[in-house]
Amino acid sequence: MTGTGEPRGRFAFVLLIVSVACSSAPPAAAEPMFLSKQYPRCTACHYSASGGGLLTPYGRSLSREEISTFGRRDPAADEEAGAEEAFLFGFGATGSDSPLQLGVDARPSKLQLEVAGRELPDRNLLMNLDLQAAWRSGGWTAYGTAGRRPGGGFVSYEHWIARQISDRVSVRGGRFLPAYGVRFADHTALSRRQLGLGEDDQVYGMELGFSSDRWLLQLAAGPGRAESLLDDDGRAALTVSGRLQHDFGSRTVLVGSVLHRGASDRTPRSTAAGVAFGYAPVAWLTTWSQADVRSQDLPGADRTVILTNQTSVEAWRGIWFRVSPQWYRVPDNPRAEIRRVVYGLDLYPRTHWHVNLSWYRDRFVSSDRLDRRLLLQLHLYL
Amino acid sequence: MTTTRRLAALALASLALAVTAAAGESWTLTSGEVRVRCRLTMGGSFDAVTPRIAGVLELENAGVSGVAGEIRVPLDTLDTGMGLRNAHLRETYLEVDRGEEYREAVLTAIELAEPFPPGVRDHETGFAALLSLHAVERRVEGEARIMWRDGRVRVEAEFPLSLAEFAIPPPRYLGVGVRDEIRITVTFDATVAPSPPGAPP
Repeated sequence: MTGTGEPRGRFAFVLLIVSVACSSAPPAAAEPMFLSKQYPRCTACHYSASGGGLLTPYGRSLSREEISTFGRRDPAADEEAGAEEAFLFGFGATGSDSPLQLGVDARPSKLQLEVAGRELPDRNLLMNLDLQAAWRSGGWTAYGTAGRRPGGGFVSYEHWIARQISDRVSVRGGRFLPAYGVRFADHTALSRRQLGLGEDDQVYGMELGFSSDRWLLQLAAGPGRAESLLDDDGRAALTVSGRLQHDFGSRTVLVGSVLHRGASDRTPRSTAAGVAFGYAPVAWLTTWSQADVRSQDLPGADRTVILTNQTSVEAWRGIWFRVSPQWYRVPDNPRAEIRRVVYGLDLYPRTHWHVNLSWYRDRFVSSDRLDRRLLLQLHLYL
Repeated sequence: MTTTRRLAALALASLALAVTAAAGESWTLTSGEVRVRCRLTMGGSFDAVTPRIAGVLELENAGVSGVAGEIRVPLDTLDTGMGLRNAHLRETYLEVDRGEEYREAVLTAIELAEPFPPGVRDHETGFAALLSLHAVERRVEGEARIMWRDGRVRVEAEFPLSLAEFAIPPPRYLGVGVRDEIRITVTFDATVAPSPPGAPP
């Protein structure tokens, strides 16, 4: 038991799991880089208060008029709003003014992997294929997604009902991702995956939101991770989260977050706390930095530190370059240290189209192992 | 004797004129910025900004609260950082193409709540003024800080205004809107010169 072979084998197995988990996960939606466009709140463009998912009609309009390279309408043209940017390019049954909004999210992708210097076979994937629907009227919002789970099977990542009680107060209940830190679009980001905020880590719970001009407070509590509750896999545990955002200006944001998970049959109790800072000095540059510390009731690995930065530059309208250094460290377990750099290119050539090219470089410090991934993804949000 | 008296009278008159001129000041705006913070209905805000601010202000004396002159801001230069938002702001809501009175915002008849104490180089005070915007003239009230540095003056002022009071329709676009009360921050540097004789207070 105390020999070196078994822990190393276990460690190699953990590395393999991490590698496979990271390599199979697609980037999600939500674009915090649009802070540079003076949108410090997710709800400007998304139905979900914690970001991601179906765009509101306003978000769809922005994706056309302000994000895409060639989508902008000719101001002189007397074209009705809500054509190209609407569901299925306006051929759907719902207009921009309809309380019911629909969307399709599809992500055909190609993935090249190199693990510890060894190339693995390329993978062509349909990472996501989801139908999204939202109905909003009279202060109520009902939201749901239904689609294909990567690898097969049905999944509904989010389904919830929300009520805007007043200008400042909202409540929602159902399945959603708890609000924590900055929701990087890449849900394999170490600050998301390692904190249990990955693609299918939504919780069942209730969320209270308090919003003012400068402040946003989101508090959520629930019985735990939705997939664990559905599968009864022994990992579900009381989950409580809090996120407080202060907008110093329309392009400067500070976020403090806490995420607590109780002990379950198979997972230890853990508490994560983080600080994130977003700053966009000009309309073409956004930088987000987040520092997280997680403590767990786990012998030998009770504290984890994660540092993440993502800096995005819009070189031309709809053409973004992205670099994201990330660092994951367990002070009591040097073998767990990962240093990652992600270089990315995001193209938004036309409404509904997003091409994502990301190159990941993960270095596992103790073994000096190097993993590389190249992801080419066409994200269609129809 | 008569000649001597005349010379003395002339000298006194010149001195009096010089004292009056030194006591009044004329501020000519050289650079600055107007920042309009628009609060969104779903929380958060965006800024519309323009560096195009011009004008001349006349201060009669220390201890006097009235400031003559005007500050003008061309509204078609307000920039929100996004083309669609700029177009809506300028054309749909401020209606800058509708006529001269819509094209500029003009601040006049400034009254300081606390006049400048003599010799002070950093002064904070409330103020009121008349704002002409969207062809409507209304009184606005806010706070200002005035700093003198190296023969120049720097002013930072802030005031809220109601869009409805200026007959600006509530901005709404695909479910997202701007709240009625917006905040204006005006910052400018000005050169200081003695007021020309006879300048209005």
